[in-house]
Amino acid sequence: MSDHTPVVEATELRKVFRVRRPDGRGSADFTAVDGVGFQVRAGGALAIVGESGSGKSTVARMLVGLETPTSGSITVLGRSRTAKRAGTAERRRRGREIQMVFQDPYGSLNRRRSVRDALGEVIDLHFKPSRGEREERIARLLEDVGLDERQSRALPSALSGGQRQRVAIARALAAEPKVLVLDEAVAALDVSIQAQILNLLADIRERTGLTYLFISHDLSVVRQISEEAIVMRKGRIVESGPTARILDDPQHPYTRMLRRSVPGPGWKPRRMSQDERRALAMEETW
Amino acid sequence: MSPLLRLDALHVTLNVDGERRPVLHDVSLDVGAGEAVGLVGESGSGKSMTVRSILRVLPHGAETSGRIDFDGTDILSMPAKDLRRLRSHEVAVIHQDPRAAINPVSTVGDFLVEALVANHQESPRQARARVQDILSDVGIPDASRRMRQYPHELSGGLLQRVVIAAAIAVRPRMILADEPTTALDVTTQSEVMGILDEMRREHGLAMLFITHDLELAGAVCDRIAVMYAGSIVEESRPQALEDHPRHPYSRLLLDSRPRIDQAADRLEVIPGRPISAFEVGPGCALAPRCPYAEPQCTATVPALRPAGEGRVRCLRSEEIEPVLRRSGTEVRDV
Repeated sequence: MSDHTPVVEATELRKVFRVRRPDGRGSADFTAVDGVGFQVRAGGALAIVGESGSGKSTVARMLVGLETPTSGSITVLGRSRTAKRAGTAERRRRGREIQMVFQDPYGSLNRRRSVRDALGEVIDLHFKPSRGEREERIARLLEDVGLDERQSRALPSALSGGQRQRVAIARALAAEPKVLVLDEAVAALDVSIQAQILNLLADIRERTGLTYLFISHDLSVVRQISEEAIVMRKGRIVESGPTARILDDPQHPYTRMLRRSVPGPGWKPRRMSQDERRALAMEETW
Repeated sequence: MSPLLRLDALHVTLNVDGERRPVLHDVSLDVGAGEAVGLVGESGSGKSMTVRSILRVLPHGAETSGRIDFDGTDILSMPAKDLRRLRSHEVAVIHQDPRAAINPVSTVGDFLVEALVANHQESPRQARARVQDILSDVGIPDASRRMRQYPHELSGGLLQRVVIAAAIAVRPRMILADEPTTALDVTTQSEVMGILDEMRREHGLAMLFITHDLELAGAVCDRIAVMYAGSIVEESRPQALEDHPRHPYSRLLLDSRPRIDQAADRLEVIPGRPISAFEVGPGCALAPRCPYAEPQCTATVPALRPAGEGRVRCLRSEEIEPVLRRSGTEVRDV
């Protein structure tokens, strides 16, 4: 595959949820994602940036098949994901294309299963390896994410938050996917641990040419991990382009406000003027 | 003049399965009247335990030594009556989660008025009028409507403003703000932090601001104390801390956070994880992770001593000063 063929392509994605009305009388449609489209080239890293309610996580969940789009299409490695309902074999094959890492590593790991067993399970499912091959794969994964032999026998409860997130990454890598979807994967970590994981993700991408979709609310983290970004607000893309350009020269008023809200040298928190508020029509979200 | 709040050699241990575990080690810190001091550190560093010590709401079985003086009176030995007065009149608290701080089954108005009527002998009518004014000050324009609503009808950002209003309403002398904007979206954080900062200055309140975000603390505080493993490792003015950190851990905190204005090839990291106070071995708490540690660092516990305008807890601070001044992060794009 050439460098220019998109590994992931989303076109006019739309997701409508049926929700209970606030007054309790019947239900109403809520459009979580509306007309979202993007492409990610092989080995690239695309960030999907937004605040709560922007629809960024719903996009992530549709990409890995945890939600079904209401309309629009998703293509991964040239194959459509939206054509028809997939059987077990097809879903497994898809698992070898795309994997996901969640924000809370504790909630996404089986707490009765050791690290080694959690990795072994995924390897068995996808590759039916011989005993030796299985051990070899586990050892390689552990080394890739910086966990040692002792930690590999531990249960998640005995590990720190950063170590658990390493396990979650190792487990995602165990299926040898081409694409990794990371949904706020470093948001819950302390800064010193966050830096370790961001470096780890950079190392893995450099070595394997894996493609990242990085969902985050944190603009500094996004700058560190991605070359391209889309900014979402209320289900729609408000701005997209190279990450450096978006952060240095944001065009949309919302992106500008987002950028201005990030603490840094010389930054002061500020109350928005009525005009700014009106321009952004924020009142309804209050 | 003595400071409004003075922590003097505060030690706290907890009882964990019959074993005494230290959580705070030799914490000394002053907060002057009207001054804002930031307490910055990673999880387990003791920031929240410090706040809980000040309010005397430590877990059951906690043992304390040292002193916590508020306006010259020791909180740790204060009788219950005085302690109630301290909590209801002198020190207001803003926690991370406003939903946990507000009674979910009473209206916002009743919540705000209750404290004033019960503790401050205000008439309900008088309290209601005053609360309404404060709500508009904190950026809630249609205050009378909001006061009739229940907490679940308000967003997190709006609810945190209500908590700020509740804090201001009791006319305290000090605010303890424990990660007050951590659960909020970035744009809301900026707004709510702006309101808190403005209210604090306007009413001349002191603030102890607990956060993991060094840059956020720098934006609203006069001084910053950095905590690691239950101890203060450095105290400095925000600008000085940024330009001229004197403790290796402060440098690490500054470098490990990715920057919004440029990406690094790799972030500067040191191995391992932040430890808790009970895991500290002999010597300096950071020594096992510190790139500048020497044999003496694992043998002697460094004292928190004056350095420049602030204080530092590092044996080698002067020696390694030139290295600490330089950020280690290489620049990838500009």
